[in-house]
Amino acid sequence: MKLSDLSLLDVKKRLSSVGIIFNIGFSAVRLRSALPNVAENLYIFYAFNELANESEFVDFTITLDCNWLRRWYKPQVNFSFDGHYPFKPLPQDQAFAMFEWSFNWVIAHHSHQYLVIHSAVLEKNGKALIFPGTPGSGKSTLCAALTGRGWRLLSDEMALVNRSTGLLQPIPRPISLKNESINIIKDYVPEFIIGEPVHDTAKGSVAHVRVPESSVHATNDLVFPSAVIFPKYKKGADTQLTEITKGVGFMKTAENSFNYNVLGEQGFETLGELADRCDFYEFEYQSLDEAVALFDEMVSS
Amino acid sequence: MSFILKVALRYRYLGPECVIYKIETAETLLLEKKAATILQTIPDKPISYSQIEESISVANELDTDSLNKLLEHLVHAGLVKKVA
Repeated sequence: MKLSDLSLLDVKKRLSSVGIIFNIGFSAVRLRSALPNVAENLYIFYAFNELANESEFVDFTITLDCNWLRRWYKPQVNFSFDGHYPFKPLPQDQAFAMFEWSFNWVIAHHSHQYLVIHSAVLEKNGKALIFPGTPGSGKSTLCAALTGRGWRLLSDEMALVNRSTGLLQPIPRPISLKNESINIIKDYVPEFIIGEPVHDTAKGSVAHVRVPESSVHATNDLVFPSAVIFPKYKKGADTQLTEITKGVGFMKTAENSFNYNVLGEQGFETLGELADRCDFYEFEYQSLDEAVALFDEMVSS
Repeated sequence: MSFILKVALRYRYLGPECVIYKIETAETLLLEKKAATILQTIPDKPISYSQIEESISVANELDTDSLNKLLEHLVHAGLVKKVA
């Protein structure tokens, strides 16, 4: 049963009582919240996710609640994970964005069965590309453009590399667009369902893109990575893909990992195996059309 | 002059380079392959310069100058200790 099989009213009721348990690939999440905008956004952006049974083991229990002292004056939202409040409250209109950011944090810091790399991951023709990127690198814009042109989205935010097998675990969740990229992607992929932008967040204006149903359905299709590409959006830049050595690629990927240092020797081994399997590139771009054409070509052979 | 390996390491050769992992400090370093090859000939007990030269230079076509520079580099990186 998918989330969209429920009515919005059911979602609101369940969220504000026992919570809704839904699957995100390798884990089940229980979310509770009485905030209407959380229910509305969850209903849109996690529509295709499978619901789990009450009896199923829940990996992550998350609550988004309001600060009752601030109910009327500048209302706020609090994020709690397994009863802890790791972050300061945010304005209530940022509730869903806070859920997405904080959920990223939860996964990145509590999924050490994987080497977790801060990156987008997309797949086409059985070839998965990892796009690590710091904020402002254009990672999410490129990710949204490729997703809109038929690539399977494994993640906009993190590559989960299984430490035993080297396979990538998909975790398709909404793509987070910021600032100018919101309108760029609205124009580039008009059929995308994009939420209302939330302004004045720590990252500027933020809007989320719903993941295509086909990507959510393919959550259990694991795939090996074939290349790691470090994107850099630059105004006026020609599209340029430059191969870098595996050694340099290894070091750059380690810098972009959330838990390489936590995993110690196991992180070194997992990343070493990934480096054996992958080619590494730096990629500078402005034109999304050229970028998509280049990566289509890369995975066509 | 002798050299001794200061730290326990893991090696992963990747083409012309090698990444090494310092087990005690959990640091990762990138070395050129030749430097890593030298490093792997140095045990955790003293080995003389001539022994290193003997085991390295023929197989890797490494001249004395290059060997000296790479050894200095390894000492400077805190991987190898020079002993009298």
